[in-house]
Amino acid sequence: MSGKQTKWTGIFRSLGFRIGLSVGLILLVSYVVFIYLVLDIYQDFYLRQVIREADRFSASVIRATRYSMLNNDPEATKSIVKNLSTQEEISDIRIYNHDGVTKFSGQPLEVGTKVDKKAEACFACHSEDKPFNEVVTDARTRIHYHTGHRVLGMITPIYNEQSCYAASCHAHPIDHKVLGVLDVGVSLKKLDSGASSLVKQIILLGVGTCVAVFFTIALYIFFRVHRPVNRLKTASKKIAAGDFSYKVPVDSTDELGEFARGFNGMGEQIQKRAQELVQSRWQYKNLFEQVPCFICVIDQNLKIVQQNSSMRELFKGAVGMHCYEAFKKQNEKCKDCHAESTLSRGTMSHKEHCGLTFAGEEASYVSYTAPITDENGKILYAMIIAVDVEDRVKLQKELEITKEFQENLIENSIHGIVATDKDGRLAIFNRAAETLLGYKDEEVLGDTDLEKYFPKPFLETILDAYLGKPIDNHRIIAQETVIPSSKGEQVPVRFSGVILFEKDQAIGSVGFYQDLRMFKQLEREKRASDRLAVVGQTVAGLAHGIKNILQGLEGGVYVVQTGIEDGDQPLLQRGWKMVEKNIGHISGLVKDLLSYSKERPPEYEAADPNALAEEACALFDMRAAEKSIVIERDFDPNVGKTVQVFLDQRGIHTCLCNLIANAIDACAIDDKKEEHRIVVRTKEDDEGNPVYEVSDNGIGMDADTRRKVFAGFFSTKGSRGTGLGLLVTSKIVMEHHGDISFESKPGVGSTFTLRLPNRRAFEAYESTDSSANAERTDVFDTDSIIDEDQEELAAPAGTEG
Amino acid sequence: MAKKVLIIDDEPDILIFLGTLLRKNGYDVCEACDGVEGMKKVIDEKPDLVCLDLVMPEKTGIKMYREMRKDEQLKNVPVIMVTGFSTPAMGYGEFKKFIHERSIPAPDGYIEKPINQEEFLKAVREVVGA
Repeated sequence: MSGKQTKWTGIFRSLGFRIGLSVGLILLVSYVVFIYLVLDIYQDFYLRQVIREADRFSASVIRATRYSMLNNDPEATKSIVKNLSTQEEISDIRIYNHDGVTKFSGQPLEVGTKVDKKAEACFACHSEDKPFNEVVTDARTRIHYHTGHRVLGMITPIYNEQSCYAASCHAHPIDHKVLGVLDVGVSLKKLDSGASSLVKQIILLGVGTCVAVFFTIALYIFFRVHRPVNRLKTASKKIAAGDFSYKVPVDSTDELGEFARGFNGMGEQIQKRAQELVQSRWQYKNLFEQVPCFICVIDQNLKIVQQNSSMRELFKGAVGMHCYEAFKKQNEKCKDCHAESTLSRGTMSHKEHCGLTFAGEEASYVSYTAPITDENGKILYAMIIAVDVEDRVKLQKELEITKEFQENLIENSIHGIVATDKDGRLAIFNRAAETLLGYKDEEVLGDTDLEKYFPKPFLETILDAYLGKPIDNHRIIAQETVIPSSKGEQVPVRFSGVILFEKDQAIGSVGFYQDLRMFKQLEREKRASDRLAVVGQTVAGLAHGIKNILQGLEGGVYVVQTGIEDGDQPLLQRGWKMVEKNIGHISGLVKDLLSYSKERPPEYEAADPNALAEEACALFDMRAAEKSIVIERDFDPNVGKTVQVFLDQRGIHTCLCNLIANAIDACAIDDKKEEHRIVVRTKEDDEGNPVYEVSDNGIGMDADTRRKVFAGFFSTKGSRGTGLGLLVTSKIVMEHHGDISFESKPGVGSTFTLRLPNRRAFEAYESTDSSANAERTDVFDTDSIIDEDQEELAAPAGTEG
Repeated sequence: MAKKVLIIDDEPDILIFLGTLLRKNGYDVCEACDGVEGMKKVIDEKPDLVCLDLVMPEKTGIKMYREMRKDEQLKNVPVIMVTGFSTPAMGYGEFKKFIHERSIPAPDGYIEKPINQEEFLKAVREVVGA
C-alpha cells in the first residue's frame, strides 16, 4: 500500500473524519427536507392565491358580460371578452353555451367550436353521462401546459337567473339551471419563475449554511477531537515503540485533556516500571551471565535451552545440545543423572561431578539442579548451576599430598619428632621417637604427662606459653641433653624445641630429638681411633727417635772404641758422654710415651693451682739457673679459693713441667738476648676458671712452627726432643675439658696458656659430656703434620711438639 | 794429599762420630752445625765432598743444596745427603721429588741414618776415592 493510500486510509478511519462525515450527512439531509417543505408550502400558497384571483376574475367577466348577454348583444359581449383576454396574465377567455359550443373567445378562431365533454376542462363536472346540474367549485380548476408554461384553467358556470328566463327574448327556458360555462386561463409563468428563483435562493442559502455549519463543526472536531486523539495516538505509538519519555501536549480541560494528562501519567508510570523492569532484567541477565559458575537450563529431553557465558566459554555448550554432551563430552546421559529427578519430581538436588572442558582438561564442579515451572506448577525445565570447584579439589589434592608428604617426612625423619596440640596433648610421635624413647605411638598419643618426653627447660617454656605468660625465647636450638627412655635408659640427644603460635596464642609445641647414642659411640671410637693413629705416628716417630738415639749410641761406642784404641783420653770421654746422653734420651722418650699412651684414668681431686705451679717451678729452678735463665712466679692468691678447682694433679704437673722445659729450651738456644726469663703465672678468668700461663722471651716461633706445634713427634730440638711433650700436655688438658692456646713471635718469645674449668664447670661438663672437645679439634689437628707446605721442610729450633 | 770432607749436621754427636770415622780412614775433616755455617765453609775450605744433613735449623740441607747447585763455583762440588727422617714429608723420596720438580741435579750419594760405617765409607770412596 502506498504512502498516499495509507494517509487517506488513515484519514478515512479517523474519528474526526467519521464524526464530521456523519454530522455533514445529517445536516445535508435536514436541509434537503427543509427546502422541499418550504417550496411545497410556497407553491401551495401561491396557487391558492392564483385560484382566488382567477375566481374573482371569472366573476368579473360574468358581471361584465351580463348586460350585453341580457341584451342579447353578442358583439358587445365579444368585445368585452376580447378586451379582457388581452390582460397580461390572462392566457385565454372562453364562454361555452349549454351545448358546449364556444360562443365567445379571446381567440376568434375558437368561436363556434364544440368541446368534448371528456376534455380535461369538462371532465370535472361532466363525469360519465352524469346530468350536469351544478358545478363543483373545488374541482373546477385544472393546470395544463400551454405554449411552454403552465396555465391554470378555471371553469365558472353561468347560472339561469330570473332576468334571463323572464326576458323578452325568452331564449332560455327556466328549467335550464346552467346556461353556459366561462373558461378562464390564467398563466402560471410568473408563479413558476418566482418559485424557481426561490428554490435557487433557498438551495444556495442552504448549501452555504450547511457548508458553514459543516466547516465550523469540522474545525471544532479537528481541533478538539482529531488533534488530541491524534496526539494520543502518536503518544501511544511512541510508548509502544519504547519512547516512554514522550509527553502528550495538554491544552484543554475537557475529557480528552484529562485523558491526555492521565496518559502522560501512565507513560511516566510505564517508563518507571519499564526502567525497573529493564534494570531488573539487566541485573538478572548480568547475574546469569556474569555469575562465576556455569548455568544452563535444560528441557525434559536434557537439551540445553539457555546457557550463560561461563558455560559457553569453558564447555562450549550450545542451545540444543544435551547437557551431558556439553559437560562431559559423552554421548549418553550420566548414570547418576540427578537432573532427571528434578525434571520428573521437581526435587532440588546437588552432586559433585568431574567434567571435561572444551580444551580436554578435567574440570571438577558441583552441580545444583532446580525445577522451573509454569503458572500451573507443571515442570517445564530444570536449571543446572555448576560451581567450579577445580581449585578447591586441586587444593584438596595438594593438601592431601602435602599432608601425606609431611606425615611421611615426620614419620620417616631420622630424628625423633614429638609434638603437642593446642590442648597440650601429645599429637605426633614419630617412628624415630618410638625407637629413641621406647614408647609406641598408640600408647602415648593424647598423653598429657609431657615430662616423660620433653627436657625440663622446654617443658617449663611450654607451660608458660600455654598459660599465656611472657616468654623470652620460644625455641631451644640444638641443646645436648639426656632424656629417659621407657626402660629408664638415659638417652643422649641433641634437642631442639619450638612453641607454635597463632596470633600470640600457643597452639602447640614440637620437639626434635637427634639421637646421639651412635654419635657418642662414634665419638668414643674416634677418640680411640685417634689414639690408635697417634700410636701409629708414635711408632714412626719412635723409630725415628730410636734411630737417632741408636746413631748417637753407635757413634758414642765408635768414639769410645777409637779413644781406647788410640789411647786418646779426651776422645774416650767425649764418646762416653755421647753414650750417656743417648741413654738419657731413651729414658725421656719412654717416659713421655707412657704418659701419652697409658690409659691411666685421671684422678680428679680438689687441688691448689698455685701449689702445683710452685712445685713445677721448683723442679726446674736449678736447670734454668745453669743456663742463666730466671723462672719468675706471678701467682694470684685467690685462684682456687672462691670456686674450688678440681683436677688430676699428676697430669697438670706434667703439663706445667713440659711447658717450663720447652720455655727453658727456647731461651737456651736464643743467643740474641743477654737475659732470659720465664714467667709462670696463675689467675682466674671472668668465669672463675683457673688459668696457667708460661711465658718466655726465648727464640719464639715462626708461622710454620706455630702451625705444627701440637703435632705428634714434631720437634725443633732434633734428637734432643721426643716430639711428644705438647701432645701429652694437650691430651691432659682435653681430659680436663680445658683448652690450651699460645701466642708466639719469632725473636720475641712465646706464651702458652692453660685454661682449666673450675669444679662447677667441670662437673657440668662431666654430666653432659660436652662436645667442647670437638670444637677444639683445630688445636689438636694432627693432619697438619703431613699437609704442611713442603717448600720449607725444616723448622727453627726451640719448640718441641 | 788427603781428600777434604765437610760434614754439616746439627747433631754434635754425628759430627763427632763421622769426624772420628773419616779421620781414622785418612780423610781431612771440617765440620759445620747448620746450613749457614756450612755454606761459609764450602766456600772457605773448598772441600772435595760435602756430607749434608737434610733437616737442620737456620738453613736446611735442602736449601743449602739448592744454593750450591745454583752457584757456578759450587755446583760441581760432590754432595752426599744424610737423613734420618723416615716420614714421607721429610724423607729422601720427597727430596728427590722436590729437586726433580725444580730441575736440580741429583746429589752424588745418599745415606740414611742410623749411619752404617761401612756403607758410609763406601759412599764416600765412590765419590772422592780413598
